[in-house]
Amino acid sequence: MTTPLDMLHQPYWMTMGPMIVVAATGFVVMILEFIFRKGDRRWLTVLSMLGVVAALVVAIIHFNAKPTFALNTIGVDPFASVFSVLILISALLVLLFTLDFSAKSDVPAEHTYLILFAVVGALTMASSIDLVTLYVGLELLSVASYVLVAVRTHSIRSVEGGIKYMLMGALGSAVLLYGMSFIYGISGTTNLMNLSGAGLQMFSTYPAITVIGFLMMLIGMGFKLSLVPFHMWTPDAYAGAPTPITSFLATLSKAASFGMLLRMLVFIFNAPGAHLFYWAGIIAAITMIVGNFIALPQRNMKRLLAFSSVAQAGYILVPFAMFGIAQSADWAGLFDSISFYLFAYTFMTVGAFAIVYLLERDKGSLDSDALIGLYQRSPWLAVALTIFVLSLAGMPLTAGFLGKFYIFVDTMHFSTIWLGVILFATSVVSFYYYIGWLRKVYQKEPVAEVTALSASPIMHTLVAVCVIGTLALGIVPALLLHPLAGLPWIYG
Amino acid sequence: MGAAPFPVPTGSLLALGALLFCIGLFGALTKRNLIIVLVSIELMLNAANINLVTFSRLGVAPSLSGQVFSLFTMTVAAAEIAVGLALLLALFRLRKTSEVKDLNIHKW
Amino acid sequence: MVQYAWLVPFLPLVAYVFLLVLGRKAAEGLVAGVSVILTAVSFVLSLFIFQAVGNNPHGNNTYVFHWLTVGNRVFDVGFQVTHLNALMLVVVTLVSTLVFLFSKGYMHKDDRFPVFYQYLNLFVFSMLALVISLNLLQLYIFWEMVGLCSYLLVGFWYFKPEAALAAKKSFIVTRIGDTGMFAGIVLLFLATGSFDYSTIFSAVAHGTLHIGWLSNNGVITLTALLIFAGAVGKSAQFPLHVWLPDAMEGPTPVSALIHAATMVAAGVYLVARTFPLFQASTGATTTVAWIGAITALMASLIALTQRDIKRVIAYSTMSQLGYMMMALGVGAYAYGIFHLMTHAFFKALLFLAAGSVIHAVDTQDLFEMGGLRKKMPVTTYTFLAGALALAGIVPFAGFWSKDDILSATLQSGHPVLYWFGLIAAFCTAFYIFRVFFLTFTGKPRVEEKYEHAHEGSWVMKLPLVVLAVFATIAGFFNSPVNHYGLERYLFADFASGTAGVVVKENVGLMAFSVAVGLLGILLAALMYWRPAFGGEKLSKALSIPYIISFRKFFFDEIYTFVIVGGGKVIAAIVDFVDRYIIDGIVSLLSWIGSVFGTMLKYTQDGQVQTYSAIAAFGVLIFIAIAVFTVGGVL
Repeated sequence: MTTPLDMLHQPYWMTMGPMIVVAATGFVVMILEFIFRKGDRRWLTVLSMLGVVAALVVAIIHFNAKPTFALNTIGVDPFASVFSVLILISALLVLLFTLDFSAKSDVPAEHTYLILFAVVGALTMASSIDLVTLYVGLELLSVASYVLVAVRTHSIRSVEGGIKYMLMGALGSAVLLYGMSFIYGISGTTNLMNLSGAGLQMFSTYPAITVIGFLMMLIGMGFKLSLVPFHMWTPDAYAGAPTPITSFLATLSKAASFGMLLRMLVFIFNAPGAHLFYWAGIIAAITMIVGNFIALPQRNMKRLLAFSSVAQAGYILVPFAMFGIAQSADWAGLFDSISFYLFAYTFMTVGAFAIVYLLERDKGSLDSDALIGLYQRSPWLAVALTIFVLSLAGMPLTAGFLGKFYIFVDTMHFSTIWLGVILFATSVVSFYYYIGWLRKVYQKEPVAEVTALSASPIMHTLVAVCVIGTLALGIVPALLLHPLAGLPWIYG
Repeated sequence: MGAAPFPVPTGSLLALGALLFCIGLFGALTKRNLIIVLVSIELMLNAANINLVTFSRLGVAPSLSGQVFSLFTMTVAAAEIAVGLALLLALFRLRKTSEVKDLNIHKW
Repeated sequence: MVQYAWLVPFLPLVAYVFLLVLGRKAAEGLVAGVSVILTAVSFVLSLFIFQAVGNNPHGNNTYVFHWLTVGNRVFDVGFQVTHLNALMLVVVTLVSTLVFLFSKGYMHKDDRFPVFYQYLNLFVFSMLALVISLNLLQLYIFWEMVGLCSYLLVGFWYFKPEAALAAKKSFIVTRIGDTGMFAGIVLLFLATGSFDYSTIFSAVAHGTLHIGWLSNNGVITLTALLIFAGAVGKSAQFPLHVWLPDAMEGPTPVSALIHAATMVAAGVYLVARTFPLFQASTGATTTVAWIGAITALMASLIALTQRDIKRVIAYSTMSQLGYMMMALGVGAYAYGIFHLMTHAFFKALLFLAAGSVIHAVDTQDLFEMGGLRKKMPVTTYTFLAGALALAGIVPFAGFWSKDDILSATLQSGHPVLYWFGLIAAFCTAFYIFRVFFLTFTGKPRVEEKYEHAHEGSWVMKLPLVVLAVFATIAGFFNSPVNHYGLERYLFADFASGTAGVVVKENVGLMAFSVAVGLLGILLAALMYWRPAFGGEKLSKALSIPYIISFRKFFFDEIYTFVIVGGGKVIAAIVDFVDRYIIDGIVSLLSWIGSVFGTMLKYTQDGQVQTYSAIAAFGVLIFIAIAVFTVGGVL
């Protein structure tokens, strides 16, 4: 007789539990949405959040599970655990965000379950060990996000952003798939476990094809991650999408794509890494430089945050460059840096978008002049925005600082200090535009009468959670590093 | 699997794939109509499919997973194109155009 | 019990946050009440901890929490309660509680009363956290925080230009020392890979401190001297002593708490905390001893002629801190700490009593006071207790500790230092009784100020009485009465069970130093109480020494000339470089940045096919270069 608790430890549940829970919630919400077509349907969003919480619980229960794979395809291992938790946390934040959003505007309700299906795709990307399922997961996430960006079908800005994102995304998929086909061709397998043993032989027999495969996979994911020069859709799609969806693109989608990229590259190319991974460093350098400089003249807040997220992706890519140099014993530190930064990035980015959204709704404008007088209008939101922005820029005592700091230490440790120097120099550049925001926040509003900035309790909660996340990780990094430290990243 | 009754050199098939990929890319970069651009992207995905199927039969270590992969890709591509066409319709309803160059509200 | 030691600094922090929340308009009673109660709880807690540490000298007293990992380096935070730390906790919390109480009366009706208490609470938190710091890095952080609080409190009446100037001066002068100290800490970190006291001490014991071409002994002497520089700044030792008298511009309770009992003692505490490091270097200990002796003598000479009551006591503080440094320098570890403790009590008492006087007559000039004994009996007799303790008259607290230091100096073979100390002791007795006689005896010199003089309310009297009791009896904590209990308590920190010099009782020496003290008092009495010969005449006869003393050995003038003059030249050069070269480069860079950014911005032309073309171009370039570098196409 198996108890429900035993069932939870069946391999399928263990490996696919979060996915099953989220997918089931998605279908239920979809059906309910068809049935209840009238009235306030925000309870559907609440239901979705409950589903995500349940999935999060399942993921956390199996956080330290021994690496296990169902059908040799989808599994639970440290990568899967860390990225699933990250994805589900950002899904919760995004859903909370949409809860406020759907009350205030006339978006069709399908965006709730579209987010859930996108989360299923993201979870698949985080936990698959087969190129086929990885690709399917990526497409599930991408297709859902194209629709989400263009969800306001009556708004040309939204639709245009969606089409641009779709075209560039499809191009990226094609490049990725083409690269995958070569790797399959010279190894005869699509399973990452089998591929990880074949890497060295592939490289010694077909060096050029291996390099092409590696680069096409890196670049194909680069489209999704908006690495330079494949980033140009980013500001358009970010600015066109409803702001909660923008924060979804910036955090959840990026986290899942980083997870997938990390898994593919490290599994397939670990053996010949020394000849390949420096390309990630070069792309990271270009991304950091272009992303930060291009943000300098921006006045549109969402476009500025879009470029800033381009730059942030560059920072996160920096440790990837070290996989070719570091011994596999030292990899755990690199994984820690990457996942720490992604957690930090999630909180500060969602928080910043939340406040931009409040201002956008209040002033009807995305111009950064909307920030003027924020401190007078709502000191608490002004201080919160200050924390997010300083964290994005990398000010001590915030999560963003420690994230950059760990990456910087990695570059010193593995003697790729030039990348660390670029990281440091470009974040100095980033201070310039972030401080520009802060100057406006603390400027006095020219009008005599100051109206308080209104925000629903939901938004206050969201901002508070993000502030706590940003500060907690910045002051007590052990909160996250401690659970990460015990993980057997390298196994088998 | 064994040798094919009418052997086609692997190189030719890969060249076909590469050619298709380049044609698709060229179309995606230059065609003015959004539908043609979508078709071109489909071509690029199909180029990858040709590769997969070729390798599945004539690769270093032939196996079925390449064909499975290509089946999945086709399905996924169909979904992608469906969404693409839906977005195109939404655009057409708003702007009465299907030209790529008219997507010019977001810039700078 | 020891595991709750973190609560001791935490409670003042709670009070600080609470007051911050209450804001600037909070009621005085509430503000003072919360502060007094929370620090009083801290004090009680410290007493228990003091006892717990004593009962279980070899128990676990270190609590470490992992904070940061950088590469292989692990940074910990936490707290450690050694016997020394436990004693410091008790002293600091006791004096803080009493000062908080006293301030309720002294700062009454001040516009920024709640802010004053906020700063004080923040200070007490930082000071206590400094005391129980686990490692030098943590200590340094709180060291700077107490410095910051001192700055804020000295400049509390910032609308007075002297106060603002004094605050700035105190901050800058102590920073000079702190820079050295920071360098010392960093050097120790480089040599041992750790900020931990225990790791550093064991490296000192094993002689494994090497950095580059610097030998073990070189590193020890260098780092000890650099750390001592920080202590010199904080404890106002020669030659960085100039800030302390000016710091008297702050409210008097601040002077009592920060510039007499606690913060300035942090320098002595630091040397004591790193005592094994100092002991390993003869050069360092000799320096410490001589600096201490010179400060003790010089400050007491300056105090002879000052007219401002707070400045006299300030110079006296400097001089007494000099004694403590001298004690540590000659290896009399326990006696330095002992004197730190007794001094905290009687000096806080003297300052608070002076505060009471200033509060009553609204002047700090000794020659505008007089005859206050009739109007302020409590203040008079408590001040007298403090003065007797300071002068080292048996059986008051100062007698025991000062006498121990002098005996230890002589018995450890430093006769010259002993004579320095003895002369300073004579001067001490003289100047403090000069203050006493001028203030409390004789006829009032300024009638209208005398008229409205009155004793403060109970909140001001109670701390005076409590401190007077301690000033009277604290000496017995380390006397034959309890078999030198404090000494044995403090020695338990050391594995060998003892540290440095232990003096043998010598009644002859004791009698001699008491006689010297009495002589000083007698002279003061003859000049200012029952004038047998006028002070005026004497100062005329000795005009040159008088002027030297009155002008404080011209230190301020010399510093102004050398440092400020030299500083001006450097400032001009820096200004030029800054204005024309750095600024030029910076604006050039920002111009380049914005041009680059704008150029990049216009690549976003809104055409998705441009985007894809650029992306495709990127793919092509990357693949071409990669295949070319790898070689062997297909």
